[in-house]
Amino acid sequence: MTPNLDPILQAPARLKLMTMLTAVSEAEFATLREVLAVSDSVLSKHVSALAADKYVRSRKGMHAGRRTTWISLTPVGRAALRSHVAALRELIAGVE
Amino acid sequence: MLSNMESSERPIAPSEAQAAIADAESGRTRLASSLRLPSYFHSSIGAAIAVQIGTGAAGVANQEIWGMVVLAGGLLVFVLVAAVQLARFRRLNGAWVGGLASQVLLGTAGLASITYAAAFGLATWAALAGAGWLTPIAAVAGGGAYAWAGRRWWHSYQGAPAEHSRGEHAVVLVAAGVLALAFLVALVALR
Repeated sequence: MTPNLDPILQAPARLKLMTMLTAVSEAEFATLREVLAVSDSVLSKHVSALAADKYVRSRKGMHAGRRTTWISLTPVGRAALRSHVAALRELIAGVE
Repeated sequence: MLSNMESSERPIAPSEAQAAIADAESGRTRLASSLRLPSYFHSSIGAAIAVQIGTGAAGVANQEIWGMVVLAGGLLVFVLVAAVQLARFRRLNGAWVGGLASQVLLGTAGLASITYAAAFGLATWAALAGAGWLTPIAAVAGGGAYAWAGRRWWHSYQGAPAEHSRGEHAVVLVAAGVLALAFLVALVALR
């Protein structure tokens, strides 16, 4: 039986972004971009896709005197991530 | 560059699944390890708690106007130090960790709560019993223990960020506040 993977989280960068967000309550766009090592447009695209499915929440705010975007995981996103990681582990366990 | 990052529904090989989890977890570890505490974080919180315990005990023991002013002043010092340190953390890291606020600053970590309650109780008892010399000792010991508990929590957080990042639920914080208030009322009533 194929584990129930979440198609939205199959992109490695999205899985990584969501997993990173479990370490914080909220993170600034530039902080996430630095750790992910991607461009503004790539991160922006992933955040928009995840926000469209209510997996993350983004809001405008200020950081060090400039306007910026703060991103956080939603309860829906947290549950989806847990379920997706469990499915990935099931997939790995299937061949061990 | 984008193509391999966009979502796809093709079957995932177990080796890819393993690599994806490892990469995601390493990103989380890297993010948590990159977070820095502002300078004098634990020492300033410990000092503010010591001031709050000392002034709180003095205020409870002397329920004249000045006693209440001293009590409120100590509380204000702690709130100001906590607010400044949290703002500095947020500015320094571009991130917010709810667990830091509730565990380190509000003392919801078990060890911080226990040591705070013990130190506050001892300081207040000393102030009420006329053993005023013991109040500052209990306050300083309480502040030191609180700072140490915060440092311990920070190490636990960096080791397992996902388990420690979230702050306490609002209900828990309200319950803690009500308990603290009830404790104060009981101390005054038993005087």
